Amino acid sequence: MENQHHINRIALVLILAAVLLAVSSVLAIGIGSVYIPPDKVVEALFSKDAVGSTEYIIVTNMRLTRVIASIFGGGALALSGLLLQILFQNPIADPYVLGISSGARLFVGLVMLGGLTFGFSTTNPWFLFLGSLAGALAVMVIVLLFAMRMHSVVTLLIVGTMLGYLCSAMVNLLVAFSDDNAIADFTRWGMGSFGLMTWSQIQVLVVVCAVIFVLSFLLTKSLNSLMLGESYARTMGVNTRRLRMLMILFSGVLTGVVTAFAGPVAFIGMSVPHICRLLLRTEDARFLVPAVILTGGVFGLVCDLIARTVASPSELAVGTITSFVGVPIVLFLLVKKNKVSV
Amino acid sequence: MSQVVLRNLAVGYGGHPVLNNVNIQLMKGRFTCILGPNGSGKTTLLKTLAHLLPALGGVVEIDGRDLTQFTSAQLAREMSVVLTERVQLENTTCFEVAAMGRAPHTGFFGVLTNEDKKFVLDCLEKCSALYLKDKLFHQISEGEKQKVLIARGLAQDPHVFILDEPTSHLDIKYKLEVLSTLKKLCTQEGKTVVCTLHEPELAAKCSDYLILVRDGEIPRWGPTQELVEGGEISQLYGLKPNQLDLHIGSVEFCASCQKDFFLIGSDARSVSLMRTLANQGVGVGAGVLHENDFLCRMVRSMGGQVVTVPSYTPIDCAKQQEALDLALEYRCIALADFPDCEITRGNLELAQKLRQLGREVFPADLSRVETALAKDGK
Repeated sequence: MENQHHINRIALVLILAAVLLAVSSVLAIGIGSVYIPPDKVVEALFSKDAVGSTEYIIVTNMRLTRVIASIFGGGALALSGLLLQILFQNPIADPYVLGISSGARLFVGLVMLGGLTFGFSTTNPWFLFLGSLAGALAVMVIVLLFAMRMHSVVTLLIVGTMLGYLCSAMVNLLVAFSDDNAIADFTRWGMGSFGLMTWSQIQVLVVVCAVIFVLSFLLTKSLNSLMLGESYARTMGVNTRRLRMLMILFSGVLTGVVTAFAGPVAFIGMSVPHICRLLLRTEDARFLVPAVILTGGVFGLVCDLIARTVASPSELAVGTITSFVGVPIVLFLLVKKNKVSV
Repeated sequence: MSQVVLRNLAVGYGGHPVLNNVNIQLMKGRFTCILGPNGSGKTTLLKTLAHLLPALGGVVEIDGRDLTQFTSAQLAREMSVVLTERVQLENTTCFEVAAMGRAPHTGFFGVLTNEDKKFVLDCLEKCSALYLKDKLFHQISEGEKQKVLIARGLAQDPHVFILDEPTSHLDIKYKLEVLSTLKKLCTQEGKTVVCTLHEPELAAKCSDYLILVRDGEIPRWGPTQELVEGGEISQLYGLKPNQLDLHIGSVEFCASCQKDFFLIGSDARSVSLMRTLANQGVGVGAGVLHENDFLCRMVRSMGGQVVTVPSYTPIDCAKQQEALDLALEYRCIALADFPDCEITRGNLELAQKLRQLGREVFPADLSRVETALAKDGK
């Protein structure tokens, strides 16, 4: 923005992130119980000759879904985190930390365990998404009501954690009254994994995320005005009420759609925006939004890859890996924040 | 010519009015200061003016048009606001902060044209903040931050510039720098500037108009000179009548009301002598002083008694007698070191008469006076 040097740095980071995303996708598709070298992966993906070969079947039926799911899942959670951090003016805001993922989980539980289906089939991905969205928005509204009264960074963290516990308790109640098959499905989903999605679910995930990604770009100018606080934004001609509604809606939809199909995944939403700020050295939303989406994709992909390979043949929940990265970042930010203010 | 008109305005929070029936005008190209004690509603008034709070009654008009009829984008080009909120921003340079002010003028993605960039640099320069442009906002001092935030407001290119306590938390250098920037904006660029200030002595010196706010109303508003002459500003803050002397913009600590030390005439060291003694809890008085003597205003500000004659006139017998009577009430008397000339001779005669009456008259020297006061105190 201000000087060419900085612009070059930002451009370099964005290009590197995109290249890294492409390369790691190909590698991630290849790595697994059967190793497929990168050239075969590219062939299976793009060449018509490969249709029907063993590689083609493994790539399209098993690996590709997972890679697409982790890229979009990671990008969506990261963008949701960025929006929440700007909305709450709080560096540790994140869909998981604020209990929004837990709210989504509760409502998904109502659908999967409670049979709260209003006549729809539980396998309908749109219905699962809407349930999850309702849960995410419900918790976000409650957190916002608290945030309006209390401005401390730490208090918000406690409110989010408490709401998370409350949702978990309600889920446990549901579990107690459910039949064993449903519980097995729900528990597997509740661990958090990008590997459980069907093609129809992935279609919903990709469509919803793509729409919100594009719409988020349209908010970037207003998001920048919000950096100085809400009053300043208003005096610069921003309709802050509308902006807040859109930010809540966007981050709710993103969290909702990922949680519906992948279960709650911790800390991606918080870590990635901070990694991007560190790399880009800017708060400018016009650069942070694309950077966060790309880096979130890489982050999701790599964490998922580690989760399924490190203890192979058994598999870890992706949330385990993201927590290892995310928790130190939260603690670091809290210590730093306490030094400056509070 | 008035640019902003407040008509029967009621301001407050959550339906509870803090100020009622406000009828004032802000003149185009003039610097208006709002003064008042803490909690009097200055900031509430300012925020209503800036449309950050809804008016509880009445209207605010800019160039004859009701504030509520502007869209928020139009209003952002008409007026800009600098608030007291602490801004915490990392990873952002001062240029970027100032450039945020261009938001109402840029396109959908807020891309700055070369003209925009030049304009922002100009604004930084006008606020003597150009040297900060590449520094990170969170690493500079409070005073520098304030200059950058004012540059941001200026970058909005407003007609009306509203600032809430732009000088609070700043040291005296930055206070003067910020206020002279604002003055320049009025005189050189014709901006209408309105701000709240906590320093009446500075407001009296830099503003064209004053608005006084107290106890839920506006007791007076008008041209600064008229209000300074009227002496209402000391009362505004509940001070003693002469304690705040706005002609010279000085406020003094109240001295003890005991009659301890009386100074005859004045010299170059009298001001510091009187302040030092007053700080030690000594009650002071002086005479006969000429009206244009600074000491005369200072002793009055401290609450001491002074006998005066008009500027540049000899001391007449009546005044000499008045001073004599007054001096006799004091425990210790000293004579300042002034040259013997026509208009001061009366004070030398006064010292002579006091000596004849058996009173000791010391030279106006701090250590001698302190010793005399201490001995007498026993």
